[in-house]
Amino acid sequence: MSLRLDKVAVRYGRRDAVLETTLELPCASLVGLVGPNGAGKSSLLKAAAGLVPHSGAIAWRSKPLTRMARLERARTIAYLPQSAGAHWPITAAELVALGRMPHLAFGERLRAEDAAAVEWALERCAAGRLAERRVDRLSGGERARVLLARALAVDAPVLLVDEPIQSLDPRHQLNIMRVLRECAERGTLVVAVLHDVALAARYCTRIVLMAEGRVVGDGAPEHVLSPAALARWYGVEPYVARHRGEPVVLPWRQID
Amino acid sequence: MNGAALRAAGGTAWVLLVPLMLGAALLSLVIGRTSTGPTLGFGDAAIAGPVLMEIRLPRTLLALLVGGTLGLSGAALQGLLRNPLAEPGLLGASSGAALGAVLVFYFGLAAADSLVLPLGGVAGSVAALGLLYGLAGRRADLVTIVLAGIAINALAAALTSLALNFAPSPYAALEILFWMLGSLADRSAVHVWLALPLMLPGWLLIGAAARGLDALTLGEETAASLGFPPARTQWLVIGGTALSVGAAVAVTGVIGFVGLVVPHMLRPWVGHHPRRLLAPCFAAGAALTLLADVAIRLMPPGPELKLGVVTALIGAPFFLQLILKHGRESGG
Repeated sequence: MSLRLDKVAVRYGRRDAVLETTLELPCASLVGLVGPNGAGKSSLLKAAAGLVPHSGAIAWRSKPLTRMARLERARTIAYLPQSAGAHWPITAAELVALGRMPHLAFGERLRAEDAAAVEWALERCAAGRLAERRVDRLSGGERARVLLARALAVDAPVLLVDEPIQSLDPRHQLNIMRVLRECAERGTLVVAVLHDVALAARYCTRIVLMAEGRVVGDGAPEHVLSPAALARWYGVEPYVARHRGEPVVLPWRQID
Repeated sequence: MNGAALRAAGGTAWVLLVPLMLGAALLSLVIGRTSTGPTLGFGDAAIAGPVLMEIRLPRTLLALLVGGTLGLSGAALQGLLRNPLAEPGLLGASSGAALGAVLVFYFGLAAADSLVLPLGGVAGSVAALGLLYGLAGRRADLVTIVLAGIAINALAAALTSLALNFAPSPYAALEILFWMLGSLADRSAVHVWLALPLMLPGWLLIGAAARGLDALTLGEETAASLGFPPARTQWLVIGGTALSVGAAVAVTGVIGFVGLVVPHMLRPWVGHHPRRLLAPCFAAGAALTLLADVAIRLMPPGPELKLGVVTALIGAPFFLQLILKHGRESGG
């Protein structure tokens, strides 16, 4: 069971965002998609979610996405965009319930299992007490947690998240990374675009490093996020250590 | 207000709106107007049947259909554009219909057959939609579509002014102006049967877009990832609006503010959910239009007020008050 990207490339007009990329992403893993700004991470993630035109083929369990019905694909792949919000002042619970839309037939109301999935997703993201709050009155970090809960509520086998911890305080960053890791341990394929290499190294089971539109490193976090790779692709010198048996990779100094 | 309370409020919207709509329809059936002023009932027993069936019933049905269409399409467009200032005329369907009808007047065809005028309106609305589609393209983003709509509105307004400028006689110019003010007077069952076959598929298209509108609450990318591609929702709403609003304008002329104000009034009641807003807006739009048309018949004797004038007179202060309230809320 895996998501397979076969020679996937993305072009915006005449500019190549992602060059031909082939990746086999098995379920039950938390893949950190990292790389400097403009590396093509978000474009690759959008292509995998079927949101931007691309060449090449993408298949889940050997079934091409193009052969899936609209809602079947929506039930298979959940996607959280980089900057998101709600355009109307609905409550957090109602926002999360929108994640259940792919499961509902035309005109069908939320069933007990949908309500349970909404509640579960809110609890996962430590947002249970926000359920009845209006989303336009939440803080940035609270809103980010509610939006992630919306993606979790889809309960899809593939979860693609674009910078899910960007606006969170350290405690909630750790919390969300742990939630994503637990999703992976329960069998979900989670692909997360991350800028925090420290958290990526600590929580991801695999790192895909992108630069200039292609994959330049792929494997175990410690192996891919080596000082040499960080120096070459990010232009930074890291502080590398181990703490309680886990890798610590901290960008420390800019290399001129 | 919590989620459960909001849902309950959505329920009370129905409990109030459906009786309001039916009550307004009943008033519209029993209240009439003659040269001496308003009348109650149907007059002599000998003419009661024809008065009810041939004058009051078509007029009531048309008010209901047109008002419902304006409320429904206003709610759908505001949901699509995620902007509470959108109104059914935004994308050119009503100005296209108006231009079509004006051209019928201009070429003196209106006298030939009472059906030519609404048919011209429908043709104008369909032409406006075709132009919009041609200008914007199938996969166009909303900004392009709104800009194309503005361009079509400007073009239709310019051509309408041109027709007025070169009107064959002052009488023809006056006729065009009066028609554009919007009215339900002197309409017959023929107009109902002309509008309904276009309105019905229009409503169905908007209904088919309902879930897509909910998904769009979270933005275009999330909506697409939930299985509701924005382009699909977009053309369902635009097609549905053009058909139903085009048909409405074709038979009554331009009736403003209903499609703008009604979704505004009801949005807090249904918890701001675009999908839950649709059906209540139909009922409320119908009720508002029916009551405005009844108010016209209650006026003292004299030239009959045009419906579009009355809805604007009711709508404008209401809208002003909403803006002031909005300013106070966002100002803290």
